[in-house]
Amino acid sequence: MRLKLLFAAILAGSMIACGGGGTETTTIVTPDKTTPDTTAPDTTNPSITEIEVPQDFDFSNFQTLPLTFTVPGDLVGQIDYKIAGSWNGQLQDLYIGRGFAGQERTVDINIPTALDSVRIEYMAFDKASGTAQVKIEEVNI
Amino acid sequence: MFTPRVLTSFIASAALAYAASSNALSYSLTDKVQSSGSTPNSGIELHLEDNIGTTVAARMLALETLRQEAISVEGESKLVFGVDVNEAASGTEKAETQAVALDSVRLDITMADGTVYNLTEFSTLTKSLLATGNNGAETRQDYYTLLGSAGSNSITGSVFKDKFDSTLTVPIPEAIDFTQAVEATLHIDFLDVNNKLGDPEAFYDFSNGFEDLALLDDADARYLDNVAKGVISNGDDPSQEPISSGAPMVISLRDNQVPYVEWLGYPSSTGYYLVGYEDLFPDLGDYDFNDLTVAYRVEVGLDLNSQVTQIRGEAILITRGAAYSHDWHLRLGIKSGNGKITESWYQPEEYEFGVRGRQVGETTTRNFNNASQIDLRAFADTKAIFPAPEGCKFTNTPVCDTYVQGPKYIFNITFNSPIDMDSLSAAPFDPYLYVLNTDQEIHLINQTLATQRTAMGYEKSQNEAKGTTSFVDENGFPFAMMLASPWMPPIEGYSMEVSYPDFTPYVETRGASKKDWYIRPDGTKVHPSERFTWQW
Repeated sequence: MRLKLLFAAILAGSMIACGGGGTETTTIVTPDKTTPDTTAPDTTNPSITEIEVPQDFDFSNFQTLPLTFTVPGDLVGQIDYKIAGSWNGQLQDLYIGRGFAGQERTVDINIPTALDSVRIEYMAFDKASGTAQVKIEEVNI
Repeated sequence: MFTPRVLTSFIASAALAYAASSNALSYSLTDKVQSSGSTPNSGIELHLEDNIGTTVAARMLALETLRQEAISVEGESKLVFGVDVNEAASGTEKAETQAVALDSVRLDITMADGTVYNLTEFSTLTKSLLATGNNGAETRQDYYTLLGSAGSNSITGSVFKDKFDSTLTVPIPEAIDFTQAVEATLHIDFLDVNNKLGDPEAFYDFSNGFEDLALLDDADARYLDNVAKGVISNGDDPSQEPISSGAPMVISLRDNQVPYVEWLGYPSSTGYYLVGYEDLFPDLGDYDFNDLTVAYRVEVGLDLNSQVTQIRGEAILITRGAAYSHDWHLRLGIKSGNGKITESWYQPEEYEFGVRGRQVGETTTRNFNNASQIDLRAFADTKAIFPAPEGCKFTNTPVCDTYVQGPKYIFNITFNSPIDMDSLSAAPFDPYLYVLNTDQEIHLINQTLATQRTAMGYEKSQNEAKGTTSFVDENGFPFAMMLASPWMPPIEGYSMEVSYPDFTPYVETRGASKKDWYIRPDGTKVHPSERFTWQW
């Protein structure tokens, strides 16, 4: 079932406008639980557009995904890794872990639905030889 | 009359006699590693440091005494410096663990006979793989690091044990006898890392300063090495099992195994969920979702068995476009667990390097037993703690020249026994609003009422009594919405569909198109991000 909403109707028929109603000062007052302040705020451009909301649409802009990966078998020493995604103009670290070569791991990540890939960065350091190794994998969601 | 040779010979003899008969001492140094990440251009002139002695000869004698002590106790000719790591507790750096990385250390020693030694070898007890400058992640190499924490858990009575964090060791060739030296100058450069790569670089960057320095005797150096500040949170109590401080990607060069915690960031270790509310619930209101908007993140610490040992997080208020006042809660389901919750609150405060937190009230600690939910009241009475600036009607929602950075809440949950990851409720957890004026809870669309409010000491809501237990209206619209950065709050009175033109096709296609609708606002109807940076 597709539902229809007229914002204009809502604005006319309900509390009109902003949260908690109207006029505000910076004075701290004890909340009045019996008389909500319904003074209209400055709503200069109320919407009149229709939106049809699909049934049970959850409006979530994030999704949870189980991500399974295997630590490369040729890494030696202490192996740290991270899963990162890029949004908001930044590389964002989703998971920072430690494992061993050949290990399979699955973690649940919760990322913006707009994201279509993440990267896994492996960093290994062998204390005995002082050798550093770095491997990077791109994973499509 | 003494010749220089006779003089130095006399001092050398005196040094050996001093070393044999006296304990070496630790000395605070006046000069620091500056906010530029380097020592002063002239270096730290140990031969002129009044804290070490009143004459050059006395200062050189003190250095030689320290070197002789190291040879005597540890069989190594070296000087050990203490560093007070003093970084901004932002991003992945916390009060309990913060760090810098070392690019270079050089100790220049000029002997009385004119011989100059430039010693560039150094070491610390930790390393990390890091990319420098603007270089990519694939260029990471190992660098020595210095970790520390803000404040000390224990008060030993020693300024060196309490104030300083990490040790920095400079090996001294056996041939060098400081009593025959006339100058000794220390140069330190921190590593300029590419912190756009996130961790580990973001953790090991230098962001604050100044970092104090000291010359340490063997006892103080050993103490700091054992306590491992910034690596272990309880290292000052050797009777306890060591607990990780949560520093990411530490390569420990200590002989002992140090504990490690994996971190799952929701949504990431540096990003935030944004959640907006319409607080006239069950009426819909103007649908601008700015009645209260909050940024928050949750980080889950896992042990090597992938069980949850710790949960930490923070929240920041962004807007309050309402006359109502609210409490904002974050509820986590855990099925069953025992442990401790630590909470603290901060107001932003400008200082020379930007904005930092000024703690409001005391840090609170409480225990929970056999709890199936943890309901954190992060912000109480938003109208009181986040008032509108003078001349503005609301806080950060009207067109107004003044923006207010909101208060910050920080929590840390530690479990007495680890819990299964499956026991933890799913991200983004349950960020909910409790409207003080109406006694209504407002949750995300698929969440349920907070049934344990009274058990947690909070007021019972009226949702059940008034039949308002569903958080979606008859037309399918929610009253709380999760939003992703860089979404910015609409200006007061502009509904989401007006302020973000792609919102309507996003909804009407059930999210199949315009998934990133929030990055394309109508610039005249949302607050400009360049004028209002809520994150701090």
